[in-house]
Amino acid sequence: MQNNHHKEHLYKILVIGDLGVGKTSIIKRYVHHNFSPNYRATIGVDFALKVLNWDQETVRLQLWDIAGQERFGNMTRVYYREAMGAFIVFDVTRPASFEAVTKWKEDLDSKLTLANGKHVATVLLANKCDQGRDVLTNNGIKMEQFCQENGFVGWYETSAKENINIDEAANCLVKHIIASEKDMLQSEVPDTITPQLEKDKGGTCSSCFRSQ
Amino acid sequence: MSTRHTHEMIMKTQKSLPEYILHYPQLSSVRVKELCELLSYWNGASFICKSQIERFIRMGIPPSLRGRVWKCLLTTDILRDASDFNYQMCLSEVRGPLVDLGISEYGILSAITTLSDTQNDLGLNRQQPTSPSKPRYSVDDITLFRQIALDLQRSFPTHRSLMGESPEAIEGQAKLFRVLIAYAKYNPKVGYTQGMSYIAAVLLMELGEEEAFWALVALLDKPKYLGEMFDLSLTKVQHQVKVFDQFLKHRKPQLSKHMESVGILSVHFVMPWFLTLFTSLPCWDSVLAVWDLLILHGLSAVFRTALTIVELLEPRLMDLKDEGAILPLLLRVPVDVAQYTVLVPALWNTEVQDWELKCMNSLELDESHNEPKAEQSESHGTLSGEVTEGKEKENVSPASVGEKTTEKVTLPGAVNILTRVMRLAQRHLLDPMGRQRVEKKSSQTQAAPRQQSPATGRFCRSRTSASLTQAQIRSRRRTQQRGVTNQPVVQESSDDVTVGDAEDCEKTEGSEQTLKRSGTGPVGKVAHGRSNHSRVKSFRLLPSVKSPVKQAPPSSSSSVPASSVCSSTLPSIRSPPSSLQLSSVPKSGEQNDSPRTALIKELSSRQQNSFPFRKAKESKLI
Repeated sequence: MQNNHHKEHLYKILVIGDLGVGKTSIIKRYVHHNFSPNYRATIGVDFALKVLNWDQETVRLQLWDIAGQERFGNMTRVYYREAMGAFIVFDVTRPASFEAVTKWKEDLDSKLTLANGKHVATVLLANKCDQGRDVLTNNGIKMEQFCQENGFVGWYETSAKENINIDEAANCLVKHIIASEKDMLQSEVPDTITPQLEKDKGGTCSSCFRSQ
Repeated sequence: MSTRHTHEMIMKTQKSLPEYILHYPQLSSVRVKELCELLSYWNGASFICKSQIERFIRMGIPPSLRGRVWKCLLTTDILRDASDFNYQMCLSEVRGPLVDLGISEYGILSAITTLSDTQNDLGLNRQQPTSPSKPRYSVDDITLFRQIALDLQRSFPTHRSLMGESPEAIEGQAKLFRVLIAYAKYNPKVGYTQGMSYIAAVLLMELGEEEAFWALVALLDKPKYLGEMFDLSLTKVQHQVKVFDQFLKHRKPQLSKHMESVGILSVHFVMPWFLTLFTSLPCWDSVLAVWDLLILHGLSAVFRTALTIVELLEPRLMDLKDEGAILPLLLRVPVDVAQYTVLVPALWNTEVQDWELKCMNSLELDESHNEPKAEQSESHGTLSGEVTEGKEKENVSPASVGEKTTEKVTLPGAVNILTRVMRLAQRHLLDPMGRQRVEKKSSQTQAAPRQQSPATGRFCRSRTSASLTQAQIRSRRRTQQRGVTNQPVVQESSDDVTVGDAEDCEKTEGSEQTLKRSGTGPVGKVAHGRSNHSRVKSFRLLPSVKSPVKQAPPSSSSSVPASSVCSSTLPSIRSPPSSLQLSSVPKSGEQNDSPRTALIKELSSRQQNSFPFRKAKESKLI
C-alpha cells in the first residue's frame, strides 16, 4: 500500500459441490501443495487463504470450503455473501455429482449477484481425473457447450491427488474476477451523483464522529 | 495460515501420553473408590448424585471410569429398556441390503467404490423398469450407506481406532458404520447428518458398541442435549447459533460489535461446535473434559464452552481486523487456548444457567417472530445492507410520520420481552428448588475460592440481563423521544436534512414512488452514516428492540399529533427503569451506561458540530 503501483486485491472464492467430490483436497493442494487421503469431513464451512502475485499486484484469495451434504444447502446463503467467484466441483467418476452441478449453480446464482447485477465468475472443476474412470468429460465440445449454457467461465479436468490443472483453474477464475471487477468499476462511472454525494457526506460525518 | 495437525498428533494417545499425564489431574485411590461407589448406587433422578458427580468432574474423571460416568448420566439403560427398538435386530435387518449390494462394513474403501458404481448404474438405468428380482435396498439406502462410509475415515483420520487398514481400525470403522446406520434407521426422519460421525466415534472410544448407540440416541434426541438439532432443515442449529449471538451481545458487547464490523458471523464457527461437540479441539484431554460437563449439563454446557473459547481468544480477536485472520483462529482453536490447563479452568469459571439460556432463547424467538421477513441467520443484520436498512427506518420513520403507529407497535413488543425475561428470571430465582440448588452448589464448591460466589453471581447476573433489557428499551424510547422533540429543530435549523426530506417523500403519491426512491437513497445513507456511529452502541445490546420497528408501517399521515402524544407519555414510562438501573450491581452498571453515554455523546456532538456543515450540505442538496 506504500506506493500506488502495488495494489492489493482480496477476493472471496467459494468452493462448492456434492459431498466427497474433493473440495477440501483441491483447496489443500492449492494452498498447502500437498495431498492426503485423510481429511476431516467439512462441517459447515472451512477456510483457507492463498496469496498470489498478479501483474505486480498482490491478490489474496479467501477460499471458502463449504460442506457438501444436501441438508447444509439450507444455509448456503450465509456462506455465499460477498463472494466474488466460485469453483463448482464434481467427481468425474460419479455422474450423480455432475447432475448436481446445475443445482449448485442455480443455488449460487439465486442467492448471490454482484453489485452490477451479474452473476459471479464460476469455474467448473471435473475432479479425480487421475482415476481413469472418466465417464463424462471425454467429450470436450459437449462440456464447452454445457459451460456456455450454464454460465460457467470455464472448466478444467483436475486432480488434487496428482496436482493437475488446479493452478490453471485458479488463474482462470482470478482473471475473470479481476475482469468483472473492472467491469463493475466502469459501470459505476455514469452514475455520478450518488458517489459524489456519498463521498462528501461520508467524509464530514465520519470525521465529525471520529473526533469524539 | 498453517494447518494444525497437532490435535491429530495428540490424538494418537501414545504420543500424547507424557503430556497427558502432566496435565490431567489424577484422582487419589480414595477418590476413585468414592466415585465407583457413587456410580454403583447411581440414581439419575437424585440431585445429590448429580451434584456429587459434578464435584468429580471438576476434579477430573479418571479415564478408566469415564465410560461408566457417561452411561449413568445419559441413562442409556433406561432408554434402551423403554424403547421397542432392538439394536441387534436392526443390524440383522440391514444385513440384507448390505449383502445384496455386495458390501461389508469390514471393507469400507471397496464398499465406497461399489456403492458409487451401483449409484452410477442406477442413474443410467433410471428410465427402465425395476428388475424382476427386487433387491432389498432402496436408492436412499445406497445414498445413506455411501455418505456414512465416506465419513468413517474422515472423522478422526489419525486416530488409531479409525485410521488405515490395521485390524483395530477396520473393526473401529465397522462399529462406527453400524452405529450410524442403526441411528439412521432408528430415526429415519433425521437419518445421517455430517457431524454425527464425530460424536459417535467419541462415544465408541469410551463405550461398548450398543451402549454407544444408545448414548448417541440420548445425545441427539433428548431436548436436554441436541434434540432436533440434526434434522433435515438444520433450523434448530441455526436458531441456537442466534441464541449464541444473544449471549455474545450481552456478555461480550465489544467483541460482538468488533466481529460484526469485521463481518464475522457466528454461524461460521459456532455451527461446527454444535454439530461436532468440540471434537475438533486440538487437545484431547480438553475434549473429554468438555464432554464430561456437556453430558452432565446438556446444551447449556455447549454455550458455556463456546463462550469460554471466545473469551479466551478475545484479546487476540480484538487485535485482528481481517476476516481472513479471525476465522481460522475460531475454526481451528489454537493449542494454547485449547490445552487442558487453560481451557478447563476457564470453563469452570464461565457460567451459563439454564434459565439464562431460556431467557436468551425467548429473546431470540421474539425477535425472529417479529421479523418474519428476515431469512435464516441473516436476521442479525451483520450484513451491512440490512443494518443500514434497519437503522434508517429507526432514524427516519419515528421523526417523520408514522410516529403513532410505530409507538403502538413497539411498546407491546418491548414490554412483552421485558416481562417475559423478568418473569423467567423471577421464576428461577424465587423458586425454592432453584435457590436450594444455588445454595447447595455454593456450599459444595467451597474448595475453590473463585467458585464460592456462584450464588451471588447468579443473582447479579439475573439482574444484569433484566436491567440490560430495560436499559435497552429505555434507550430505544429515548431515541424515539429525542427524535420527536427534535423535530421542530429539524425544520428550523436544518439539523437533520434527511428527516425533512424523507417526510416529504412519504407524503408523495404512489405514482411518484420512483422519485421517492432516488430521493431517499443517498440521503438515507447519509442519515445512516451520521447517526449510525453513535447509535450502534445503544442498539447493539438489544436487537429485539429493533425488530418491532422494522415491522412498523412505512408510512402513514399527520405527524404533529403523534409527537405530542409520545412526548407526554414517555417520561412516566421512562423513570422506573432508570431507578432500577441504579440499584443494579456495578458490573452491570458499566454495560448499562453505554447506551446512555452514547446518547449523551451523540446529543452533545450534534449540538457542537453538526449544525454548520449540515446547513451547507442542505444547500448543496437543494
